[in-house]
Parts: sequence; C-alpha cells; structure tokens
Amino acid sequence: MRMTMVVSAAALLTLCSFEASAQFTGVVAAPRPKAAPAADTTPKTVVEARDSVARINLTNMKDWVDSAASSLAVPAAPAVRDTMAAAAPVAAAPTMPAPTPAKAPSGTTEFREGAAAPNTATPVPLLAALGLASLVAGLWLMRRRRA
Amino acid sequence: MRRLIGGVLTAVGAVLLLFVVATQATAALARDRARTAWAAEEARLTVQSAWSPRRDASQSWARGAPLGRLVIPGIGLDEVFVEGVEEPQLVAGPGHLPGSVLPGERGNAIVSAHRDRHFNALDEVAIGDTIVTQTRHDRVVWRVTERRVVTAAAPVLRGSTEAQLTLTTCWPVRYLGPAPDRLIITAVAVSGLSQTAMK
Repeated sequence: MRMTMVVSAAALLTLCSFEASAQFTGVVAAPRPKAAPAADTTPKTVVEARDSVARINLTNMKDWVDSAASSLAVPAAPAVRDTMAAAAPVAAAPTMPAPTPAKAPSGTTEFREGAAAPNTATPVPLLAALGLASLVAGLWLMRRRRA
Repeated sequence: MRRLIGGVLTAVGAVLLLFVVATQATAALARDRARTAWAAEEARLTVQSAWSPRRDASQSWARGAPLGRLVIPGIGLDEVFVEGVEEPQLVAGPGHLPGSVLPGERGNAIVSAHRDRHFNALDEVAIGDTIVTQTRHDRVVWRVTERRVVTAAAPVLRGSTEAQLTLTTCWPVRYLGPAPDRLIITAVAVSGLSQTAMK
C-alpha cells in the first residue's frame, strides 16, 4: 500500500514537473546595478555657446508679430471685402461626381404636387382570363381528337 | 396536329393560371404579414401610448412598413395599409404614397391599391360614405365628398391645407388588361383629427 502511494506520488511529481518546471528551474538573476550616470564632462561654456537663440536680435518687431500671427492660422472673419471673387477663377478641386438622379420608375411612387395617380394597373385579371381561355381551348381540342 | 396544339394551349393555360394563383398566394401571405406586423405595432403602441412622441412630419417610413388600418364599412373593406405604392407593397395591401401625409395630419393623405385586390369594390363607394383610418396616433372618421374618374396621366395629386384623404385605384374596376383610367375618391375629416392637423 505504502509502495503504491510512493509510486503514485512520484508519478504525480514527475507529471507535474513538466507544467511547473519553468517556475522552479528559472534562475532569478540579481538585478544588475545601474550604471552610474556618466559625469557631465561637457564644459558649461560649450553649452552656452550652442544656445544662440537668445542672441538673435529682432530688428523688425512688426514683421515678426505678423508672421507669428499668420502661423497660428486662426480663422477670423475678414475685416475687408474679399477681393478674390473678382480674380480669375480657380480650377475646382477634384470632387466626387454629382450623383445622377436615379431613373424614376414608371408611375408615381412619391407625392409631388400635380403628379398623376399611382400606377395601380395590373395584368393579373388579363393573365387569368387568358390562362383560363387557353386551358379550356386546349382541353377542348384534345377532347375532340379523342372523339 | 390538333392534339399538339391542344397540348400546347393546355400547358400555356396551366402555366398562366399557376402564375396567377402564385401571385394571389403571395399577396395573401404578404397581407397576412402586414396584418401581423400591424397587430404587433398596435400592441407596442398601446404600451407606449402614454409617452410616445408624435410623428415628425418629416419622418419617412420604410417601404412595406404597416402604417395603419383603412376601414370602409359600406363595402366591407378592412385592410392594413403599408408604406409605398410599388408592386411589392401593393400586393400586401393598400399603399400609402410616400411624401404625402399620414391620414389625420394636415394635408392630403393618399392611399392607392389594385382594383383586383383590396380596392376591388371601391367603385361602390358613394358620396357621403364613411371611411375610418387608424394610424399610430390618430383614429379619424372621414366622409366621402368627391368621386371622379380621370385619365391615368391626369395631374390629380394636390396638396391640401386641410386634412384630406384620397383613395385611388384603376378604372374601370372590372376590365381586362391595364386599365386606362383612375378612380379618385376624396374624403374630408369629420372627427378624430390630431392636434397638429387642426392647427
């Protein structure tokens, strides 16, 4: 009995080890110590030499303000009359072709002022009469043949 | 030879009659579907009637959707009318002309049907007869005021500033082949108008 239990336990451990092997065999590596940040050896004078923006001299402040305002691209109501209307026509941008109206089916299918009444004509009575007449005539011909 | 001709005629006749029977059967099924859909819609509206918003005048309905009931007691007509006046809709029942108002609203509500099906007795409607319509929001009683026959191309559809009901079908009602004329029945509301129609 004990032997059976031992064998069973060993078998279970063997089988389970395949599922859990990754948990036990993995080696948790110690975190590498972070490399100390390199010392900033750049001389301060070099950094200051690269930062030359502050040294630009604005000679025409009005032009600069105008260019900055236009770069914002804030749409505003035109304060003056649009003179572009009188200019040469600009070629229209390619757009989707205008949808052609669908071919209207025969008869009125939607209300329009002054339209004719909807087409309610139906050939069914005519077909029924023709079918009946044809059937009767055919049977009559076949019957006479037999006689 | 006679036997051959007889056989051909019999076959053609049988095919035509089968086609007619199939058409009528399809129409009967479509009519039943429209009635069932309307019954379900009525049940739903009964529940929602306390808070359901009124129909927007600009609202359009899907083709074939049941819109209401049309009852003409004088000729024993009681049909569910659907949206659209094309063949798929007209086999199911009288069709409401899209773009026209619904019965009970201010304007001209136009309903059409085939003369060999739902409006096969419309020629028996006389001036003064009563018509009853029931839509999602309105139950209106109408009185027939005008009955006329026009040609198929006659411009008879007009708007109206008052609530008006126009029924159209082909004329003559009993005619073999495409009927050349149209029967136009016009009715005015007697009672049951919606508030929007009475403004």
